[in-house]
Amino acid sequence: MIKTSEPPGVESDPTEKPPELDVSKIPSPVLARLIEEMRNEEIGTAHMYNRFHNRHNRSR
Amino acid sequence: MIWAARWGVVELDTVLIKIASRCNIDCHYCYVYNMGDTGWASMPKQMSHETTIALATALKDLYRTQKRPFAVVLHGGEPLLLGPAKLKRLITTLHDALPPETAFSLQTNGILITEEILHVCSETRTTLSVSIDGPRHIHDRSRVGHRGQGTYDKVMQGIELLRNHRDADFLYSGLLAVIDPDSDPSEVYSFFKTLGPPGVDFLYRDGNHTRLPAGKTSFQSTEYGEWFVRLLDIYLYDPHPLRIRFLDDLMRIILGGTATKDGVGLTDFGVLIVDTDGSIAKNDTLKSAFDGADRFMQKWSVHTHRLEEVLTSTEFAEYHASQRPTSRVCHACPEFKVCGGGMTLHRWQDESGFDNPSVYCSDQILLIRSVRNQITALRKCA
Repeated sequence: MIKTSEPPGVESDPTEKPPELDVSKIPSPVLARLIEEMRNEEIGTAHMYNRFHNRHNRSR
Repeated sequence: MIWAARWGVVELDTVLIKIASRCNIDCHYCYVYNMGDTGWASMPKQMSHETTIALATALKDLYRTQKRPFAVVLHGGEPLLLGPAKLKRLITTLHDALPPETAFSLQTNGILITEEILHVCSETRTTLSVSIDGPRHIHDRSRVGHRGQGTYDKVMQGIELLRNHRDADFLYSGLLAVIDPDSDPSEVYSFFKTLGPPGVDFLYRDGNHTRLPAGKTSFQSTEYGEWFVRLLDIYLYDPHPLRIRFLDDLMRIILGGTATKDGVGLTDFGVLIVDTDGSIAKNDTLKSAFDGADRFMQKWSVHTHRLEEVLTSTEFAEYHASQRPTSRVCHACPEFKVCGGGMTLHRWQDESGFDNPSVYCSDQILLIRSVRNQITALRKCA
């Protein structure tokens, strides 16, 4: 068995649920997009994400 | 996922078909040819029409049972070695057996892309993803021909044809890059943006605890993690970003969602590999662990077995379960749910098998902490 060193501390709780956010104020287009996509999935409009094999990049 | 309680079988998400066992180039890091596995040498060079028919019949039979579509990925070797006529016949044969919503895609090194190939892919609704590692001086370090010559120019010609095709919006599904930790992620990212792909996926180099990945000096070292952290910093603040699947998946999990690929998170994937002779294999990346690591004890083949028989077998269930890490280090890790123990092949050590954290454990931890901290900081702005 290989042992790893203790990981350094994190600044947030890994299980913390994100609060409601105003996506338009997030200064990262990537993060704003992901949050928006996940909200859409929650309301069932875009849940058909594709599964794919790791050696293949199927973006849609 | 999926251990499907309804049927008591592993549900298939993806069938990855090795339609050619040989490749027209010889990438230094290739897990098929250059990491000790010799399975390719005993395989037919290309999948025959008889095997394609047997596979189509087997997949049709499985779909009737599963009643849920699965993706079909054409892979190799280099799948375009079939040429346009054989490729069209193969895809059409499979298409005819499967529901129309079945997604067909193909992973290629791009060199053999021609107008004729693109016409076949457009006709058969098959998307293409191209493997390229970055600009010439990065790409040609590893992705070389059989005489050691760089392949950059030919790959770029293929990408240009793909981008300029009238059906490019459908056909061009993305780029796939293996990381060179000595490269500048800013340079690689900027270069990929000039190629206009809908997305890019970055892969760690294959390797394990016994044979460390190139560019990684020890289990504790973080060359790849640092590379990804630098990429993350660029990506998060780019006003017109590409999609980077690996980073997106990490962020999705941290935000409470699920990943779309293996290698992060705890979602299991039902993947079936079919070799050119019709035999059923495990995830082909396991070849990098030891010679024959991707072979089942059972000699299953689409010529002689129903896929339902494979998917309901104990051996397949055990293989499927092996996606989940067994290491106590992983199970005690606060980032277990995000990291998921990485990819199975990266856990291998000759003495202890797969019962280890990923050889990229330290890299993953560094990156996940960085993603988490960035998200926390950005949330405060909203």
